[in-house]
Amino acid sequence: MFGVLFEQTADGQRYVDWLLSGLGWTLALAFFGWWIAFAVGVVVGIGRTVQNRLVAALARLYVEIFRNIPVLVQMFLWYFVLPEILPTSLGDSIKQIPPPWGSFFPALLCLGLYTAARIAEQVRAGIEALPKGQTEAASALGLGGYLTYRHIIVPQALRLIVPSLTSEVMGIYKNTSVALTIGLMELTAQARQISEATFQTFTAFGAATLIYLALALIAYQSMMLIDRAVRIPGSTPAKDAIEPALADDVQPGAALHQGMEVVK
Amino acid sequence: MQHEIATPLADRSPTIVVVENLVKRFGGFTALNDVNLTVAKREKIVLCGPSGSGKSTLIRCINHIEKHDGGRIVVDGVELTDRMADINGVRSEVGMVFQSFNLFPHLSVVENCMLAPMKVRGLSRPEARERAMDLLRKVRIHSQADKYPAQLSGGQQQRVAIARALCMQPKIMLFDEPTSALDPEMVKEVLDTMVQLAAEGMTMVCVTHEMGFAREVADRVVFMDQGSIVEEADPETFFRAPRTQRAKGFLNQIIH
Ligand SMILES: Nc1ncnc2c1ncn2[C@@H]1O[C@H](COP(=O)(O)OP(=O)(O)OP(=O)(O)O)[C@@H](O)[C@H]1O
Ligand SMILES: [Mg+2]
Repeated sequence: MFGVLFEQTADGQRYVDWLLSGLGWTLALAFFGWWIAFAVGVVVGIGRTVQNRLVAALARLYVEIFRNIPVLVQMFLWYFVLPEILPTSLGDSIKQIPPPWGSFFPALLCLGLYTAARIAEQVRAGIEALPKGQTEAASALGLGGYLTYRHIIVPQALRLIVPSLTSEVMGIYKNTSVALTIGLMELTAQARQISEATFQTFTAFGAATLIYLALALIAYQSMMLIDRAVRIPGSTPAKDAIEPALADDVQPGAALHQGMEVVK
Repeated sequence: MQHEIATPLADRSPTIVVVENLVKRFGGFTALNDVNLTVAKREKIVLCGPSGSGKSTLIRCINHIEKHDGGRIVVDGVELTDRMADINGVRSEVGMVFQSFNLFPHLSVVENCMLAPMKVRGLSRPEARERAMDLLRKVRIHSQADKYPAQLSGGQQQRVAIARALCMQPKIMLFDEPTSALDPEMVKEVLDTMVQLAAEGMTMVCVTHEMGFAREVADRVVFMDQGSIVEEADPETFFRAPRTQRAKGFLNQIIH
């Protein structure tokens, strides 16, 4: 059934090479996007919990903006709108970036910053779930705000949210497919191209589906391993917390709905 | 003190904590109303009183975990105010032990004891470790040094919490009902540790209803009710012949 994938294309490659190249872009987008999301998400999530009103308000603003605009719209904003609103010379030089990178970087920023907003909320929830006694004990020892966050609060909050971060990891790589709308030839785009070239729609998208599923499984298993690796000795496993993460499907549209729950 | 050359003023003063006309409100509720308390160096004070009388609030004000609304608190010569720059400097001289232990669950026992000495006092890792092991030995729990809090019993955890506070070499120790979350068979091991600490001359303010402990170590029992200090006396007098009706009622309740 997948035999057609190994046939020669017009440019001398095989269709499976197209898929692999798409997979490469998908992975690159998800991987680097994840680290942007994680770094920004942790900072913004911490920002939401600090005493300083201005910082907390800015962090809140970030989250509400990036989480409540659909990913597809954000993709267009970064790709089409950003070069227009920047000073002309800068905008023009952005438009000059050669093809794969010209859509890769906007897609990377888009997914990274969107997912960061979601991670920020997880981080905030993790921080707020810690018993008040932890901060009090740290204060009583003379640890200031920075040291308390650095050594007491953040290490515990991050451990707590590993299960819910699993759904964010899966979410970001699924959302990479949105990048095809701005011309990045990632996995889904390549599948469509193969389907158009061969008229084997089922084979093309079937192969893409299997690859996405395999990625999901790998992401899920790695997060389970991480969860186990960072678990505090003597504490009870948080296995029941990781199961709903699988069921929680991260769709661009769902973000709006979830955002409204928190806004109320 | 081995070197008597440049003793700061605060060190020569006989008092370590002065609380004057302290007022603390939570919203419209007055939790502490005009409280006055002076703690002399090496003094051991037991604070008691019915639930909600403000005992926890009072000792939490002393290390500024709760900010007071009126009056003055001076700790080791430094007045606590909202705008003070170095609250952590004061806090690091005041050890605190909580009812619910509040150990850091993600750090091993010895790391719990090393963190603040390293980060606040600037000790090197080996120095901090040596000090931690000394104090863990003192509370007789050094064999568990590399375990995590969740792997210890309540009594063991509370002794670790005491060691953690002692690692900062505080000038005064505050205890907020350190044994009331413990199973009865573990109360003694913690009280023994506190008795030993008292014998070594540590200044202590303890919220506790352990009357045996109060009799054994307290210089003074302070009885609170409804946000005020109602009665103060040496333990013998307080337990044998309380002056106020409220103290009598309270003592009847905890004995039965
Ligand atoms: N954070 C808070 N917000 C509102 N009210 C508070 C807060 N903390 C304490 N209170 C109130 O202040 C009063 C004194 O509380 P506190 O905890 O000091 O009492 P306590 O003497 O320690 O009692 P217990 O023996 O139950 O520990 C209580 O009525 C309590 O409800
Ligand atoms: Mg209390």
